[in-house]
Amino acid sequence: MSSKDEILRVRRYFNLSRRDMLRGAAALGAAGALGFGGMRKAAAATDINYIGWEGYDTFLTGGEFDKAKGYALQKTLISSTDEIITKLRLDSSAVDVCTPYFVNDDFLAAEGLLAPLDLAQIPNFAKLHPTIKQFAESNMTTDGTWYACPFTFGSICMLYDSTKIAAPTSWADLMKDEYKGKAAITADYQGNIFAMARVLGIANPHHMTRDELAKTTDLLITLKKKHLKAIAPSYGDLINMYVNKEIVISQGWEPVSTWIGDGTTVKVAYPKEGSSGFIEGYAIGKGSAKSAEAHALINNALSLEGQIAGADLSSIPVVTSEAMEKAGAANKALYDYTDLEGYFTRKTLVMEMYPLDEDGEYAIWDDYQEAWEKVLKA
Amino acid sequence: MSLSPALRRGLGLTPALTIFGLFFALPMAYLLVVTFWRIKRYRLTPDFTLSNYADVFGDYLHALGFTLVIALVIALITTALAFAIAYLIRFRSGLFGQIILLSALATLFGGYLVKIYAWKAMLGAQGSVNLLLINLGLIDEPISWLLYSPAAVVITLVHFMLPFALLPILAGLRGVSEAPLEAARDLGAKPWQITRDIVLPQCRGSLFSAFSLAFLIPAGDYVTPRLVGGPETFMVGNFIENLFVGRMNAPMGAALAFTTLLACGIVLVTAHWLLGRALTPKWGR
Repeated sequence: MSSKDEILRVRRYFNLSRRDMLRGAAALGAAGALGFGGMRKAAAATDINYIGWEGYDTFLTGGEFDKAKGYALQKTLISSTDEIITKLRLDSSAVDVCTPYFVNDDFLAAEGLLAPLDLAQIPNFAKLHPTIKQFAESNMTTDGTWYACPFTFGSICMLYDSTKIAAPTSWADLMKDEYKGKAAITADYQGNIFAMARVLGIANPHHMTRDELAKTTDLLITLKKKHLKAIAPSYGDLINMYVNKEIVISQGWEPVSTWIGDGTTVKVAYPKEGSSGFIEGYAIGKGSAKSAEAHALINNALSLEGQIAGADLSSIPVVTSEAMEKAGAANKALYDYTDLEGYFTRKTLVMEMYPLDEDGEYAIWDDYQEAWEKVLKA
Repeated sequence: MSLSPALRRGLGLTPALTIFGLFFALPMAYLLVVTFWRIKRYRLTPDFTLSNYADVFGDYLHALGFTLVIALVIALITTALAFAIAYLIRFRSGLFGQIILLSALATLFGGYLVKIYAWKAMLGAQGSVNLLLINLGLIDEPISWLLYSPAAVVITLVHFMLPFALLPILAGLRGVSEAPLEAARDLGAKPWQITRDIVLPQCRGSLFSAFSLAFLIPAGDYVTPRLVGGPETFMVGNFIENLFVGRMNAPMGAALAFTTLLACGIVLVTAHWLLGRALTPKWGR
C-alpha cells in the first residue's frame, strides 16, 4: 500500500514476448544438445572412488590402465589412515578402492566395512613375493579370506643429515643433547609410540599394559618438550626442515630420503630397537557397486607396469617377484630385495592390531590415540 | 485477500529462515544432541550422558585456554593495525588511500595456504627475516623461535586476518562526519583527542565486527598451528579435528566444539561490554 506522498518506483525486470520465448527455447535446445552431448561423453568414463595416500594410486593406473579401460579415478587423499575408517563408517559402498593401515584390516573386515577380495579376479596376486605374502597374511586375512591386497611395504625408520651427524643407531639418539632443537618427528602416532616403547624395552608396542603405555607416553612427552624442533604435519614439511638446515635427525620413511632432490645428504637408518614395519594393501569398501572395476585396478597394481610405475614415481618398493627383478638401480639401492626376511625380522617389526576390548590390564586402541593427544597437549 | 503487514514481513523472511534453519540450526541441533551420546567400539550410540563435557573440562581446558589467549592476542593486534591503516586511508592519504586499500585487499588473492607457506619460508632459519637480520649485523645466529612457535602462528594469522578486519573499520570510518571533527579542531582539540573522543566512539560497531572476525577465525583454526606452530602450539581446533577424524569420537569432539563456541561467545560479550564502556561518546554522558 502506498500513500499519494510516497514515490512508487516500478522496475520492469524483463519483457517476455512470444518471439523472445521461441528464441530462448531454441537457444536452450542448442545449449542442451551441446551440454548433454558433453555430459554423455564425460559419463562414458567410469568413476572409481579412491581414498588413500597420495602416490599410492599410481600403482593402480600404471601403464595408463585407467585410460585404456575408461576409468576415472576420483581421488580423496588422506593425511591420516584413520580418515579411511571414518569414510568407510559413513558409507562403505561409496569407497571403491582404499588403502587402510594394514593393522586395521582385520578390524574393518569384522566390522563389515570391507568386501572380501575375489582372488580369481586378481590373477597377478600369484606374483606376490612369498615373504611379502607371509608377513601380510595375519593382518590382511580373516578365516583364510583376503580383505586387502599388498602392493608396497616400508617402515617408520630414522632419517639423518649425513653431512652433519653420524648414522643414529637407536631411537634414543633423538634425545641426545647435541641434537636438542634439531630433531623432528611426524604426526604418525603409531610410529612414535612404537619407537619410544621399544626404547623402553617393550617387546610388543601394540600390546602394552596401561602402565607400559603411560611410561611410553611420558617418554614421548620428554622427547617433545625437551628435544624436538617440530612435529612435522607431513613428509613434505619434514623435507623442508632438512633443506632449511633446521633439523639433523628425525623419524621418517625410506623414500623421503630420495625426495629431497639431487645431491641428497639425508639418509636412512634402522635403529637397533627396530622400526615399525608395514605392508600396504588395497581394499574394497563393502557394498561398492564398482567391485569388478576395483578388482581390475588392483590386479593392474600387481602387474609389472603398475608396480614399476608406483616405484618410479615415489621411490617406494614393489611386492611382486618380477617387479623386484626389474626395479631400477636407485630403487634396489634403497630396498634390499635379496633379504626381505631380514627386513621384516631384523630391521623392522610387523605389528598386529591393538586390543579393541577392555580387559582392564592392556591398553586398547583408543588408549593409544588418547596417549598421543596427551603428548600433543603436554 | 490482502495480507497483514506483519504476515507479509514474516513471509518475506521465510527464505532466509529456511536456509538458516536447514543449513545452520538443524545441523547444530544435531551436533548438540550428539554431545550427550557415547561411542561404543567406535560406533555412535544414543544416550544421555554428561561425561563428554566432564572429559572436556578435565582434559582440554588447558588447550582451550591457550587457544583463547592466542586468538585474543591475534584479534587485538589485527584490530589495532587495521584501525591504523583504515585511519590513514580515510583521513591522511587522499587519493593514495585507494592504493593502500587495493594493496591490502590484494593479499586476499593469495589464498590461505599460500600465506602460511610464504611465512614459513620467511621465518625459517634460512628465511629472509633471519638473513636480513644477520646481514644487518643485528644477530649472529638465526633466531630459532621465529618459526615453529606461537609467535609464528600470531604473525601468520594477523597477516591473514588483516584485510578482513580492515574492511568493516574502513566502512565505519567512512561514516564519520567531517563536521564534528572540524568543530573539535576549531575548539583546540588535539588529533589524539579527536580520535579518542569522536572517531573511535563513532566506529565502535565496526571495531567490534573487526575484532570478532579476527578472534573467531583464529580460535577455530587448526591448519596454521599445525604448519607453523611448534610442538607446543596445538590449538583446540587440532583436538576437535583429531577427536572427529582420528579417534572417531564425535560426541567428545562435538562437546569440545560446543564448549569452545560458548567460551568464544563469553569473550565476545565481554569485549562488546568493554568497548561500550571505553568508547561511549563523550557528548552522550
